[in-house]
Amino acid sequence: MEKMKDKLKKITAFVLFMGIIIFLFCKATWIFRANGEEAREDIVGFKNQANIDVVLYGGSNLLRFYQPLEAWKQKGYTSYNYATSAAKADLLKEYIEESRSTNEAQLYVCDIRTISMVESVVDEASLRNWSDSVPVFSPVRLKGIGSFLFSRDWQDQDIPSFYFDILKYHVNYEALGSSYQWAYTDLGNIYNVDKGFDPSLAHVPFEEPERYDGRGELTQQQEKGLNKLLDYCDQENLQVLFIVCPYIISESDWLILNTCGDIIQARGYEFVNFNEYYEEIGFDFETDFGDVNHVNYLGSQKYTAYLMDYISDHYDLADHRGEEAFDGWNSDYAIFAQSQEEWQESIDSLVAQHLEAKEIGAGLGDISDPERWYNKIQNRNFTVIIQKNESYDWPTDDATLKKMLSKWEMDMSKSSYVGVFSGNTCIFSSNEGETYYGNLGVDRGRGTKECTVSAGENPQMIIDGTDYYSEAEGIQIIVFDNNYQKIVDHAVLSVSGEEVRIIHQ
Amino acid sequence: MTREEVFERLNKVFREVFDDEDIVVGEETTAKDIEDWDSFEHINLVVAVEDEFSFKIPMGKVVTMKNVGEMADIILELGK
Amino acid sequence: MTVTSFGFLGLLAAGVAIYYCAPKKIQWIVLLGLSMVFYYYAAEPFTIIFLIISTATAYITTNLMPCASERIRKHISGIAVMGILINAVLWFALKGSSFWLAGARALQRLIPDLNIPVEGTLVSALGMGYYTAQVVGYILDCYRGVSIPQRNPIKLFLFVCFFPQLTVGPISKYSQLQSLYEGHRFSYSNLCFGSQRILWGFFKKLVISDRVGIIISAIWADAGTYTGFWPWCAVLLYPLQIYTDFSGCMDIVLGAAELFDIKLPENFHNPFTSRSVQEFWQRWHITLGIWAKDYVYYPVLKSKVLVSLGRWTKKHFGKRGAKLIPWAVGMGILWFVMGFWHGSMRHILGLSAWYWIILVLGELFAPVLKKLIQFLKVNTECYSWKLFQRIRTYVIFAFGTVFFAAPGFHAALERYKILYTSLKNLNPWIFFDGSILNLGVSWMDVNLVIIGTYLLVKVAYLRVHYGYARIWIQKQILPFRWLLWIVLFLLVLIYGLYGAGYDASQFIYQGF
Repeated sequence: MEKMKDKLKKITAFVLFMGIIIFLFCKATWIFRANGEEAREDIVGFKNQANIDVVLYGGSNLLRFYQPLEAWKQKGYTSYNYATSAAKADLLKEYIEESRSTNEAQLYVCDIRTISMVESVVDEASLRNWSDSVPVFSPVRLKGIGSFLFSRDWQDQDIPSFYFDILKYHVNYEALGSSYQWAYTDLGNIYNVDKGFDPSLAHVPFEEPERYDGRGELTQQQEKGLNKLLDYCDQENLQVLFIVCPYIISESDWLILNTCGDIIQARGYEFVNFNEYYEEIGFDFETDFGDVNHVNYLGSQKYTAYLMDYISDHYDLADHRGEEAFDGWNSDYAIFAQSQEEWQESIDSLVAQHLEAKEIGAGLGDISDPERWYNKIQNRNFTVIIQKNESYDWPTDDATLKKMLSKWEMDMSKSSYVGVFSGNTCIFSSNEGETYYGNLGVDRGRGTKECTVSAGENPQMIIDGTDYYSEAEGIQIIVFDNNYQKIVDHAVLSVSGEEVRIIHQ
Repeated sequence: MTREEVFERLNKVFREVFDDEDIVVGEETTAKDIEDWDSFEHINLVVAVEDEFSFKIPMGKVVTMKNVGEMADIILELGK
Repeated sequence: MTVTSFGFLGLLAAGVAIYYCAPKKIQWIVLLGLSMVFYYYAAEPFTIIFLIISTATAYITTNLMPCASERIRKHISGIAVMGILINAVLWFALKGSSFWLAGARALQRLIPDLNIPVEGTLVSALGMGYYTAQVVGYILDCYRGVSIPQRNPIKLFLFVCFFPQLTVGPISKYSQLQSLYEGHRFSYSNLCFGSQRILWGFFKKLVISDRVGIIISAIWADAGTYTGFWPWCAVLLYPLQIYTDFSGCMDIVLGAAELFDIKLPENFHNPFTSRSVQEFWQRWHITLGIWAKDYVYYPVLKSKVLVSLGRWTKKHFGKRGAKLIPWAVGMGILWFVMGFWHGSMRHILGLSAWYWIILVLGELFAPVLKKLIQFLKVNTECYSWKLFQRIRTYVIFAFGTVFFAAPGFHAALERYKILYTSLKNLNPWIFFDGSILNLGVSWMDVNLVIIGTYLLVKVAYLRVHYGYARIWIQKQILPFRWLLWIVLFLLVLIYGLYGAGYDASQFIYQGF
């Protein structure tokens, strides 16, 4: 009898001790987790949100696109973006499974755009943004990490640090001194007001992508990932809508997504590729996109409007506006509306600036007054490339000329000069015959234009493969619009007699 | 040879090796009890015992013997 | 997989579970299986062939020994020598490459026409220095009749490749590891003590040793800037680094074995409480010292050559000479082997030569120093005198480790030169101006080292009075015990230097 009691005491003590260790281990993990605030707030906050009718799963192609609170305001159904940046489509099954532990939605919306990016290379962030936001010992998380890693090239990865991410993050000692990090020791306090919406406030102009109707082939890994998701939906009898949010889509993506559409529809699920509905959504490709993968706030307004219409038209969802239980959504919307104003202001002003620059650029060719022309090209959205191949003995009394030369740090007595300026910033300036190698234009997924400029004996002004150097006497100046990635003016600055002239080529 | 005789003769050996006329060894005497008895002197002791009792102590015993009592056992077993 | 890796912990956890669920008769096979898994992940798997060869030679030679056949009995010593030689040659070929490559180079210079390889490394087996020593010890023990040869070659193989001790020792005797083959019952206290010891080992290695290592390497990396007291600090801190590294490793190894209810011999016993260099080597890397004593020192001293040398010197130099000269020769050979075992010229100089000289000088001047102490009426049993002796031992050890720690022979000489020239421009202000922060550590790191060292001293004290600190801890009230282990666990988890951004902890002593 004594032995039994003794054994029981030891077992209890052991279990209790290990319990304390595991408890502290988990808490410490949360203090050190460093995978990004947006991800954690979104995923952790989801657990503290009740009564969500529609949950959307995907990556930043939901986070920047769809505004759950706007849908609440207009249609009265509750929704939430359970999404993390760089999420890969073959992990969405685990997203759904994990989210269902706190919320059984009526409609599950999965954005499977990233299926084409499911490959054998391990993209750490795409796993960690989710796995580092979920409680350490959640069974879905453990299974999800395994299924993600072991279907890819896992051999060189530090596997334990994915399961127990504190092994990776414990070196962030500053976290111990951060009240923000400590807040995550009490997960119940984490709340994401915007319900997983985080707009892009960037802008670059695009052109409407082509539509392709062909079919491409999925790799075995991609097909497996898609089928895993479909099987789960079958098994759990979920009402699922598969979508692809609109972006600047490439031909190969079209082919793959068309094939995915076939597979999904063959399994009896709805599939909508919103890239087919640019016109209906009302996109203006010149203003609505922040980069090749994401709309900006302007685009997201149009898209949210269209998607919320689609959802409420095709699915039978109750209108909860006015119900007391959903009061929280109203107060959240009030806060959200203020953010909306700020976002609107910010994106409007940015787009306006870019459009203004475009207009200025279009008009540059008509300006013959050097001073006016010079002032116009100081716009931050332009890159000005200057080249001089001889030493000129020009009168430097002219105020405008003086201003230009000093700004460009040009030495008139030297015989070669290359300068690259953007707005007030000097990117490159050399009087000694050095060559400029650089990239022009704002990238944001479009790539940039290679630029090589040299002066003196072997003058060239090559932009995107074409040499714009002309034999005309004087200082060669090219003005390049960074956003539209094209040359808006090519002029030669020269002095004839006392007069400073701009001659457009 | 009786055990007492062995100890008599051992006393002589010890006194000779350690240059100390006051040493008296017993069953439980170990290296800790005699100041200079380190690993080097241990071998000197063994060689001296081998000379005194005209036999060779096998290496295994040299390494494993724990006290003078064991040494006496070995002598009684193998020595003359 | 190293002993500080997560994988090793995982292996232990799974291994312990399987071990105690298995029937007692085959528990040793479980250990063998675990050792194979460990070897597969820790080394080039094919190199296990070397362990198999070692086991085979040991098995054959030792099982021939008790043979009834008269013919074989006559050649027993020859057989034993063969067994030992094969192992030694194997070890020399693979681990002693710095020696024979140096020899090859010397030969090449003498005879330029000779075309022999002068560069290259051979893949060697894991833990070769350790298991070879164990095998040689086993062969000699059987030869001497101390142990009965193992009839089961697989069981013998387990003795050779038992995974906790394979990479860093301790070097066990065959008689000490008999419990490998016995059945063991699960005991909660083994689980506790073993885990506690492993945790403590991790603390020493990951929290203290690697941190001190950052400071030391930063100083040596920029020896031009860090002059004056800096290199001296690096030298005097190094014993702390290597002690916490090596003994921390030992704690993990012994703790791991304790989980399986196997007691491995201790390798360290508060070495920095040693009052003399002699005593130091009885408290530092104990099993190597015992191995060298039992299998090199004693046989050498008892050999006909040395015994006659002893007699000859007694005749010519009197009693004192008779003690000194054969002892010095014996010591020289012992130290040479110890240095040789470490596998490079640097060790033979920095370890063997250095300590041999110190010991011989110490012995030579012993009577003079004794007279001086008596004359000055120094109280040799007071705390401060003992402290002086301990500091002296520490400094002598620190000075010798410069050879050990330097990346090469010439680098070591460079360091000695730097130490000497640094004496000319001492800069005591570095202890007060916070410039330690430029070495890549923060005040947090410095504090952790200080706290860690304090804990080391505390634990050493408890070891003296209670056998092991954890025996004392076991007596304390539950909240204290639990708090202690939880805090230690969190310190290792958070402040341990492991993971991305840090090198996988490589032990300084792994590689022998």
